[in-house]
Amino acid sequence: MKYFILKIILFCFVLAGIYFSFMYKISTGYVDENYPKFCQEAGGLILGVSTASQGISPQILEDELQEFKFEKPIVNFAINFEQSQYGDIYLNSVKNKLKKQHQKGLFILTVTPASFTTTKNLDEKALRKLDQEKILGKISNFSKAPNFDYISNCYPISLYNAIYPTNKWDNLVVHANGWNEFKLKSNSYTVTKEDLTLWKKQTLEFQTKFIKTQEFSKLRLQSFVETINFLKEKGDVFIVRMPLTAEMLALEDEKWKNFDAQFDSIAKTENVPFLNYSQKELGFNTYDGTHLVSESAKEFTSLLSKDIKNSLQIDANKK
Amino acid sequence: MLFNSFEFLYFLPLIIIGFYILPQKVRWLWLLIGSYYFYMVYEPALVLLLVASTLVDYFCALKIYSAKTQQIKKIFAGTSIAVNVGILIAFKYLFFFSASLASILAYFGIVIPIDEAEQSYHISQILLPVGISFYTFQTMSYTIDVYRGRIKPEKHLGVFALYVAYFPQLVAGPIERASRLLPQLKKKVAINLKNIEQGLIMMAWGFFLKIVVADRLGIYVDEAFANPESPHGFSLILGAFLFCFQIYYDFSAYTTIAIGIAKVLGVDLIQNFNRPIFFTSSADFWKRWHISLMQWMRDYVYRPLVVNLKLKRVPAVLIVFFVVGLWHGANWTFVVWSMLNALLLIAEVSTNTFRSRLFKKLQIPKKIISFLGWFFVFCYLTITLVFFRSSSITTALVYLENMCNLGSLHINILNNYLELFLCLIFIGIVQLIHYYKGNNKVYELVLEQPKHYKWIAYFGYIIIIVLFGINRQSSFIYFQF
Repeated sequence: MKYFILKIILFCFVLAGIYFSFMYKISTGYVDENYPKFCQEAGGLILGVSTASQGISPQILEDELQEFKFEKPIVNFAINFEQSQYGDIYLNSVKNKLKKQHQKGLFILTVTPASFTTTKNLDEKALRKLDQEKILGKISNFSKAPNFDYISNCYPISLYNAIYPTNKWDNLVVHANGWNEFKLKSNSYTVTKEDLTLWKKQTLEFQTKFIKTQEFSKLRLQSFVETINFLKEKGDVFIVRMPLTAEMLALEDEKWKNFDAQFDSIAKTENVPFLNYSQKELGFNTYDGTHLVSESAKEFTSLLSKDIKNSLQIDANKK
Repeated sequence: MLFNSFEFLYFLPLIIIGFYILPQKVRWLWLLIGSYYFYMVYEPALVLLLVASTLVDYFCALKIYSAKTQQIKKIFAGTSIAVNVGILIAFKYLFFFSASLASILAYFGIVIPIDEAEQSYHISQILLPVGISFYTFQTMSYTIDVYRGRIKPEKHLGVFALYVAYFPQLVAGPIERASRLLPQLKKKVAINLKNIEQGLIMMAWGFFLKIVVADRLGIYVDEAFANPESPHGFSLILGAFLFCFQIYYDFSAYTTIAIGIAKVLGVDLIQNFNRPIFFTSSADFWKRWHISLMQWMRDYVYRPLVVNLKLKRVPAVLIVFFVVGLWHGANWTFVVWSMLNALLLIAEVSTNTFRSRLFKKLQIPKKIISFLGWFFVFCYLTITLVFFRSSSITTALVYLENMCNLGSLHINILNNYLELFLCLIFIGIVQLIHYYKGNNKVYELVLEQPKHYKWIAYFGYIIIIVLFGINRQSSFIYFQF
């Protein structure tokens, strides 16, 4: 009996030992495109879905807004529409992500209909339960490196990738500050015109179908307002609507006609600026109609920095 | 609670240690508390349904046994069945039936608006009690067996409650008969290292099937079925083919783990699979697949239809398969899947003599006939499973139509071919092991070896689980039923 128990204990120890060794090995290299977002305490945050994750570079914001002495680092904490829609779970993760001793941060809350929708007829309880099952609901540690909480709960593939990585795509450069930069050309692949045409077509088709299954969630909107109120106490908040192609805008506008007006009204009520880039012909390039490619993301972040600077200077002059 | 969750890592050792430390008299209570806790992790309130079903069947069975007239027996048996079927209808089929009725009436121009709240309930499926079809069928078989005089009712309410809620097989079977499980729950269990070792190896094998094989296949299956309109026919064919194995490994993983846990606790559960891929005919497949459900259907649906109602075999088979389809879920896709299989079964049985004569006349070797037969049935099963996996009949038809687009060999559901290679390697390994040891004697593969080979096997297992396991913590497919 004693030998049997020893055997089981030894088995469990070896299993745990090998498991943690590989988790550690994974954490020292490439994990996935979201992992770096969970490896540091943040001074400022960029929130939203994948358009923000790929479209806003925290480094450019930090460099161009240096004079305002925002708390660093600014982290791009936007994931994608499946994982980081506004809600209680996202708000809770934002609270846990920020530095404990916080001075004055910059907070960019990007908005798109996808951040506020749910499957039709989903009640509040079901919605909370669904959010709880996503990355932000599964983990409790949002700012540790290495983040074993993330790897053990959210690493979606086998640990043999620690030795032979198969999930890395050279065209998507993952930065330590959470920005996912999409490059049209990498060492292993150059995106072709045909790729771009196909991706844009596929995205539009997907969105057209998907949008029909969705409805606007009051709960998400309520949480969004709560997020603004929480972050207003920690620094300067900006609501931003990202640029997108005319086709995508037409699709979103068809479903949610008063989207801009609604957020304009929220911004006024909450006394925060609303920077809307969706209606402007800015000439930014996307690879699928919604996500900005590297150069455009950099240009857009510079433009955003300038507008934020202007807004802050106007505010300062008023005071 | 999922078997493949971190909570279960704490729960199971606690249950096993407590079980062997506690005196025999209170072990039932320990297991009952554990089982209810196990179930309440999903949704605490739904344990009330389990309790209600337990109480009704407990009292009905006692009343049936003590009743002096056949009429009173019938009343209590009817009450038990009505309550269990009522629970099933209320929690699983209400919206499905009302929506189906509304569609039929709409066809005749009568439009009935379906209550939005009801629709919301259906879509969220939050209230759908996990494993409801399994435990209601298990308790119904108990009352019917008491009514038929095959078993005596259990007088100990606690032990009976444990029979209904026994956690290893509560949420996805196998559906146990009272005559098998109740005596085992009451018998004195001494520590038996051989049994415990066998049980642990079965659990380890089950986890391998789930974490390494089924969940790996699931990634590609999910992707293929998420895009039924894909123009890449080979991707869809591959998706359907992999789903065949995914559902088998996923379900048999659950059963294997359940059998392993029960074995550690001194209970032998019924075998639910018997190498289903090695069938020789459609009829043979249904004897090997989900054995506990098919035997339940045979004893409590098919035989009463044929023996008591004098129904002919063909309509009886159609009714049985209709019920099997509905049992799987409140969606016509399951019914179509099941009925297509019924049609194949009927066609197979009714053409048996004709085919034998034809093959004899053509002088085709038996081995070739067997292989062609197997291949045909396997393809047929794969095609019917497209209905099983799809969200609607229309989606399934779109999927099947696009499966025929064989213009390009491009497989768009795979981002790397190493994973496809791994999928096929693991399918091969599992089939080889099942071929030699069957589904339930896999432990012999390790225990019959000399000591040093055993250790190599244990460490090999650890390396495979750690390196090739997929950490999806996804629930088992059959939980939804």
